[in-house]
Amino acid sequence: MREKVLITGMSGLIGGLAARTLSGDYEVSDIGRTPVDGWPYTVADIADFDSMRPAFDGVKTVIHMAASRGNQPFDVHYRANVIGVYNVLEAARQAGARRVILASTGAVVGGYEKDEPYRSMVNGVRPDTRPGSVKMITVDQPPRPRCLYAVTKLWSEAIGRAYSEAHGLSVLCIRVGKVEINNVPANARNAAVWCSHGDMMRLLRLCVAAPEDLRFNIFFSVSDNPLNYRDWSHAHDVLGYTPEDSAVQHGY
Amino acid sequence: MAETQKAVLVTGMSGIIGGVAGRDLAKSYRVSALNRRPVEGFETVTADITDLNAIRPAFEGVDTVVHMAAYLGGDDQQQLEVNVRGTHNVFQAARESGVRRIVFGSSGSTMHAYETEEPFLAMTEARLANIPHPRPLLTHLDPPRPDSLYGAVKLFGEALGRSFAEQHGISVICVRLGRVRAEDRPANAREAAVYLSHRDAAQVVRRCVEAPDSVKFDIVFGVSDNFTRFRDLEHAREVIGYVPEDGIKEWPLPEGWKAAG
Repeated sequence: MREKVLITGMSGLIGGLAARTLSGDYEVSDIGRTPVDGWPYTVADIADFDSMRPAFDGVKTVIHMAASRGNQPFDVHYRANVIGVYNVLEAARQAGARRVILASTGAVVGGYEKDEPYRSMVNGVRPDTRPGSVKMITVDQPPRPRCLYAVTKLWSEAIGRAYSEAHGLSVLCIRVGKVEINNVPANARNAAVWCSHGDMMRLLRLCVAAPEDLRFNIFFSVSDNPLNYRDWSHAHDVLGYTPEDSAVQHGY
Repeated sequence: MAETQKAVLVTGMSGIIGGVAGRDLAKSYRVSALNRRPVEGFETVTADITDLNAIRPAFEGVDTVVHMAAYLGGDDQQQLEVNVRGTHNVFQAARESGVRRIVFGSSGSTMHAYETEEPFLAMTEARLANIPHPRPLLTHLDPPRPDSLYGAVKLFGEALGRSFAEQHGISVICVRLGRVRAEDRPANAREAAVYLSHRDAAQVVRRCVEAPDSVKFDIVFGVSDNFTRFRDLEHAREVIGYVPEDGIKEWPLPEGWKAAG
């Protein structure tokens, strides 16, 4: 029997890509506020534990993409991103799921973009250093969030770590780069941190298939962009991730 | 002198650390309390930090906020309400009032999972023969490893502090506090490793309040200089000038041991 993968936020861009990518190998189902045609679904609010808990029965892997994004009042982020991720982890634990993959964001290190050479890079300017000498920002460096959204994503990493340490649940966090609907970087800033659909799905697939003993980790999802500053070599070392796309293909 | 004293607002002053730190700060500053019940001897705005509108008046004219209020119980929803929403409310109200600095009472529990493995396990069990030399230390740069909801909510507070510092220029110092007990003595070997005396608790909070304005954001450990200590104090010394006066020197404690200060 094929393993069950539950996706939250399948009506979103990455959730939808994930469903199509994984459905060849896994039994994919959806949980969200609006059903997505063509997939088994549970209509539920992730901030409402009792309504969402049943969808986790029998699930091996949860891919948690549902979130509120951008500038929103505290209560919106609190419901979706603070209570929501708690509910997802708790439901996964109760249901005996093996792994939860949490969508974090590259914005958790956005504060580094105030400093050189990163500031130039996100403005499309090659830093005034030897090629290859830019120090990549790694997942082990202190986070520098600049907005509540990024703070809630750090919260998801923190509570994910706690569930992994305390309950043995495998929790993998993906700090998602800029994924565009038309799969083309929108501007110079996005070109630095752009992640193609293909690379996003490569990393996600590797996370789903990673060995059971990978208990907790954090990865940047980003393509091999010329002005990228987020380290993907860690994802390469741990998972074998190698991006195949680059913003250079789109003139950046 | 009275008019020029800085106003310091302490949340959670009815707790042990808030009380110890608040009473010490009152020697030099105009200290008021934000608390669910009145704090004897201090001007108190009586309100619950989960209610943003109710707590706003407490922040008027305040220079520094010392945020020690927290929920430590076992109800997960309360953990989120008080320690996530409540902490956000405190930071938000502080920013709206033009507060210069927030001292955030974080916790060593943000790093607790390290203690499940050697060599830190040996240190929490005071197994001296198994403690390497030089003594291994966890620093503020090591990746956090919470293994409880409480550790995770404290990391939310640290992340929120960072974002307020980055985005709004408010100075935020997070102090990862050790074990403080009402009777001011550790109850077991693990507590001896992470013991924070009342006197040192007051000092570390005071140093955070008095640190130069150039400290925009930082994380320091607040712990006494215990012989099995595994939390770094060098960074706290560099950034805020905290040097503990106390420390557990042996375990078990000798007959008649009494906390100093």
